[in-house]
Amino acid sequence: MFAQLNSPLQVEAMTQALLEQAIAQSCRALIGKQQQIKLALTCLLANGHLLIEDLPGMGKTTLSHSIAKVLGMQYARIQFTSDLLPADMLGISIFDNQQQQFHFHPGPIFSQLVLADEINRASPKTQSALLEAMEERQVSMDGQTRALPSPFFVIGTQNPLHQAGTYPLPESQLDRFLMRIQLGYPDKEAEKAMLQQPVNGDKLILETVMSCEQFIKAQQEAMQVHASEAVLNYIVRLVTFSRESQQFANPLSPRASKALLSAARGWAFINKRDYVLPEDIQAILPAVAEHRLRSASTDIAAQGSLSKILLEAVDPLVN
Amino acid sequence: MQWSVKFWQRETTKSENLPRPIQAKNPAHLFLAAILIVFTVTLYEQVIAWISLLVVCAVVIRSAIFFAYQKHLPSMRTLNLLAILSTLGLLYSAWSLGFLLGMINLLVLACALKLMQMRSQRDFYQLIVSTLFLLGCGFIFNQSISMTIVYSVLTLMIIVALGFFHAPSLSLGQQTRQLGLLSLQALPIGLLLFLLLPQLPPLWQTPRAKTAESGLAEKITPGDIARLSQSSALAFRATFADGSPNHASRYWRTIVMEDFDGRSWQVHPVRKQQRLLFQSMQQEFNPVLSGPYRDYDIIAEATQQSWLPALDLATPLGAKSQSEIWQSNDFQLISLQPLVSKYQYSVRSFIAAMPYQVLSQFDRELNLSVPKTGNPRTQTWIQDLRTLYPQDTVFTQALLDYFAGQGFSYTLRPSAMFIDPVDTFLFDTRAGFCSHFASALAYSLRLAGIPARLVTGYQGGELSTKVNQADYISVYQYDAHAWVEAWFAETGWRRFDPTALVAPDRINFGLRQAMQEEGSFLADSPFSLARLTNIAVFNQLRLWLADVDYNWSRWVLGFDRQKQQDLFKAIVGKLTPQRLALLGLGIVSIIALLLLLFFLPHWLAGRVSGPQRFYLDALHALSKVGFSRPPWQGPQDFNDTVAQQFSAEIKQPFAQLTALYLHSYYAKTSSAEKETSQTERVTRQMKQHLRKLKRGLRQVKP
Amino acid sequence: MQMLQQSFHRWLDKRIPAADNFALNHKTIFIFPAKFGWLYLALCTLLFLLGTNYQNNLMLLLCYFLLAVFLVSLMASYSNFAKLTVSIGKIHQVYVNDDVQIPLWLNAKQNSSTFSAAMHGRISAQFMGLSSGIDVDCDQLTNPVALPLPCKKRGWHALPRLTLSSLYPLGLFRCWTHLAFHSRVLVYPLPLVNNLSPQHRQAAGHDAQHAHKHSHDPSLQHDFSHLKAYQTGESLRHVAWKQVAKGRGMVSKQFTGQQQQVTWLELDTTVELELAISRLCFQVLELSRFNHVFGFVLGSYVLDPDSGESHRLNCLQALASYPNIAMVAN
Repeated sequence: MFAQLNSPLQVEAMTQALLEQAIAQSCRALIGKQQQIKLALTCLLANGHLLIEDLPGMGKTTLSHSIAKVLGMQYARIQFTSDLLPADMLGISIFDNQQQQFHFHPGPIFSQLVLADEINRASPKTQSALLEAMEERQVSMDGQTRALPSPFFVIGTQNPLHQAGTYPLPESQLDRFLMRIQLGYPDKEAEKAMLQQPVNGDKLILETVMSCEQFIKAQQEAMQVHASEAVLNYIVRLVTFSRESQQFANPLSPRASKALLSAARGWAFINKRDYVLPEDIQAILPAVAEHRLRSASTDIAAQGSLSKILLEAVDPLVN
Repeated sequence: MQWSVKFWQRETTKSENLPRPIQAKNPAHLFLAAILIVFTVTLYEQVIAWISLLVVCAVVIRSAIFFAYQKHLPSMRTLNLLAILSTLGLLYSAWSLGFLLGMINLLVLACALKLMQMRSQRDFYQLIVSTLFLLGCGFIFNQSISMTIVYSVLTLMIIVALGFFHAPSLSLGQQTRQLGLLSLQALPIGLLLFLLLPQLPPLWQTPRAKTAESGLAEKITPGDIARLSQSSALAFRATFADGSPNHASRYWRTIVMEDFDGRSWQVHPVRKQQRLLFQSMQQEFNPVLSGPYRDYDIIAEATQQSWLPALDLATPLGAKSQSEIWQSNDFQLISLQPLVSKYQYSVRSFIAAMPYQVLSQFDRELNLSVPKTGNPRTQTWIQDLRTLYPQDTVFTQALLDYFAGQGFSYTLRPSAMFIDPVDTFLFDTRAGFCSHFASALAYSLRLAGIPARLVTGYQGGELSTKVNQADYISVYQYDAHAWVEAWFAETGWRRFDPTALVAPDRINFGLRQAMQEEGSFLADSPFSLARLTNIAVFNQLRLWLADVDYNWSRWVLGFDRQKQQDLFKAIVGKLTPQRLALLGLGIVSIIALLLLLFFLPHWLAGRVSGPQRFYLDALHALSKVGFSRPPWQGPQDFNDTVAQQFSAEIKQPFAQLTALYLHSYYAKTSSAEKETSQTERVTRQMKQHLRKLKRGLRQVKP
Repeated sequence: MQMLQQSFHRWLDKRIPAADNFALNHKTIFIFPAKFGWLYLALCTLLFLLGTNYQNNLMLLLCYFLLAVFLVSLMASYSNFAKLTVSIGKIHQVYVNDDVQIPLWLNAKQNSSTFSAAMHGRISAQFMGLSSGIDVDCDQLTNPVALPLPCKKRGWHALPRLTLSSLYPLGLFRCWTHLAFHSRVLVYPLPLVNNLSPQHRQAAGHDAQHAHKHSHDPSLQHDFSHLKAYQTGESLRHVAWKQVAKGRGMVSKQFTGQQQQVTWLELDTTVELELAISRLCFQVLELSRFNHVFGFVLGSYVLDPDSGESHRLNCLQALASYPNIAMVAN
């Protein structure tokens, strides 16, 4: 009886330890960005796609690359350019002369973790093809539906809007990314540590910490994390506030509230808890909600801190 | 340049203050329809047939609209026409009905029409109020427990209908739950008001319903009581606080008949006139009262008559009974109001006071008059007998001996006697019912010059004794009986019951025993519970029902000023104005308290309980020393800030409190059985930590 | 009468000051027997008289029970109504004579967990001083509830007090409240169809005939100057589609004439003020529709030539609040 009761907990603890290792490993590649790495992992645990938005050279690619490596996922990178066609990404059917039939050559999207680099450089047509694949987790071509591998994650990176020569993602499409994070500049200490790192040849060698199967299991366990009624009420009050307040032009949709909950579960799981706390929601809310909200006022300065406004308006304790 | 033209302008809509229309498909309407039809059924005797038919029509129309078989209400013009026609019809038939029934029929009619026509909120409310009023009126006619239950259900249905009207999209279950709770809350308050608000005497004379009289008649032709003996309906119940008389001496005098026409006995018209005269002069008859007596209460069923049964020489007891009951010169109790519903009164009976009464000349003449002609054989027989026994008592004994010795038999199925009935009975058939015997005896005594009269009433009754309640006797219609009273100079009025000579079982055990051989007891109603006394289960059921009905009549229907005052006395002791004022104050505060009690949970619902309360208390304590949580901060984050700010005495208990709070409020709760003990433990621990925290904080304060 | 009303409003302002959202409580709720409540009390009296006269205890019991129901329903209707929380959502701008739909967010559930904690029954909502309102069924609530408010005058208007009332559970008591909200409604002037008046054409410095004819596509009259990265909000007419096709990204054509071809909109002082403002409003709307660049002068308030959504809104706001344009800045 005792053993039975304990065994799931032990398994959970094991998975959590593995995740901790994964975070530690990734941190080696991206010094001083533990918070972002944890958020990224949370996003994957919640089975959502991640959008990283920052200036070039901040480590967007490194982050995704190291996550793929650590989690042992099959990894592909697609560099989005304005002349990238959907077929370049999805794959193409080529007529095989010898066998007298069409052969499908899968594109880079048929990978478990796809880095869609500089997603806002691609033409809207290619963007929409990618977003469709993200949503459906399958690709329809030539009247045939091909399932994408499982797990399937897209980490999109995007340059901020004011960069020249970009096609900004429409707001409706932004919703498909569970989280949007910004990496930001490292602090002085971290930057120094990064510079001090010994360079073995060209690349830092990262260990693969967990297998894909283990990660899927971790996902399942994370979604079992208990969310009490108080937490659900808190989410509802946050979302309702965004709808009732005059400060937001785009309020949070029901999809956003679902995203909040699953991300909070993932965050709690990474923090080795089997229940969600208001702090979990507060931690992931900027990443989950910021890109979904739009300020009602035209003042640009207000745009960056919408989730802060939202957080500070709602008391997590009051019911 | 072509400017596209847009129509910005919009007509503004003007709304008028029309009565607010109502939805056609509200369950409230169906409820009202059901209520009306059930109510009409319960008053099937009082409501005129064609009005009942109109009610059915209204219900059909409403239901058709509700179930969408029909889209439109009948037009206003049709309804107005219908209203005029039926009012005329009612005026025509109401002539014979009297005021009360006329009003009730009018109300039922109005409700039916309203149900057909109901379009606006106001119509609905009017219909609700009229239906409630009708329900109240229904209690005039129906007071039994079963009917009270039916009417209570109807009242609840009206409340539910109101609920549906104001919250149309709640389900029936939710509706009944909400409003049932509300009614349950209202019930104790209503009862309290009923028990403790002063019962007032009637404020003015109220119109009475004209309905068929029941029970004993003012005129009997021998054989009539045989009809009554086929009824197992209750006549009255008498409660004896200290011991009841035995079966043989329970002669419930009800109607004294002094006028005999050779066939029938009836209340003497002269006696009636005399009573009216005395009543107008306020000269009540005062019999000479002495000797042992017995006090008891009687609850009489509605008879629509004024005669009240009582034992021996009875006088009304208590202010209420004295003011409502008239003592007649023939030692009879007469209610000033006909008994339209159950009536309770208190009586004191003097068992041995009869010899002390005087016989006036008027009474003597009344009780000696016999028709000159008819029954020739009896006349000659009495003349012969009288010459043999000139002494009154001896003569009477001889007469009784004749009844005892000449092969008379007691039967519920006497043969018809049309010509000279006394002759036929005495010398030919010699079989009859109590009235035959009594009639023959009284007639014979009168012929012999002894003042005599026929008394009808009830004999016997079923005694019910229980440990915790006073003895009571239920008297049914089949206990109806007739006997004779004769006047002798030495003994005054004496009771003679010839039936007792022929069928002693009738007097000692009741009709059931007496009729065992003949098998004629309640022969017309084979399934009556009273007939099935041989089967133990049925008999018990019957007795139990009688018991319930008795208590209902005595304590609910019979709750009057007297009982209320007894209650007050039981509560406050002596009835002084101050104490009564205090009592009034007490009632008001109890009602207020009850109301508060009912709604405390609602107000507490907004408040927090359990672990959260302790946590919030802790937060409050911290804010008192100037360290409050930013309103958006989560508990764990706040704990971290507290840990940075305060010393161990404060931060440790607070950390414990936070941990317990988080655990109980956010973590997955374990299985249900553990839960209660665990909550208790958590509560205890939190209490401890809170105390520690407060102690720590006290040191912080300057 | 007027005095009475004024002092009533003053008293209300003190008792229920304006706020952003309300959770109804003993301070904000008024409760009084409804008409039906009085009728019901009359019925109770009648039953009492009848019951006393007939000495009928059951009738008296019914009467007292109904009285008790009356008492209990006082508490029930109060505690039901006190579960309501109200706030006002985003108010859109409207033109004069339109009804603005005021979005009410009614929350009828206290804890959302138990049935008894939820508010039931219908609420009728209306603005104080207006005869019409709407009925909301709390058991079938979909937020927000739109409550129309007719707008007769341009400018910033404070919302009238919102009156919410409920008769639940039995209609014996009416619970109501008059709530004041901080929200304001901006009503734009009514656009009145007219042509561009002469002074505008002069201000534009161009042949009126010419301007009119080609006002649909200003680019036709001007010479191409250079390409520039496309910005959201720019007319699609200006996009250099050829460049796009070559995969050089979205670029838009810029024209030399564009900067000079500026229309200045001004108030026509020759006609009545409201009429002039209405006409000006129409001009603003029309020019914005075709993405004209235009400047805007209204009294001392000057907006530099521009085009686009925010420019249009600024103009309309100025028009709505004229002559108190200062309020816009706040």
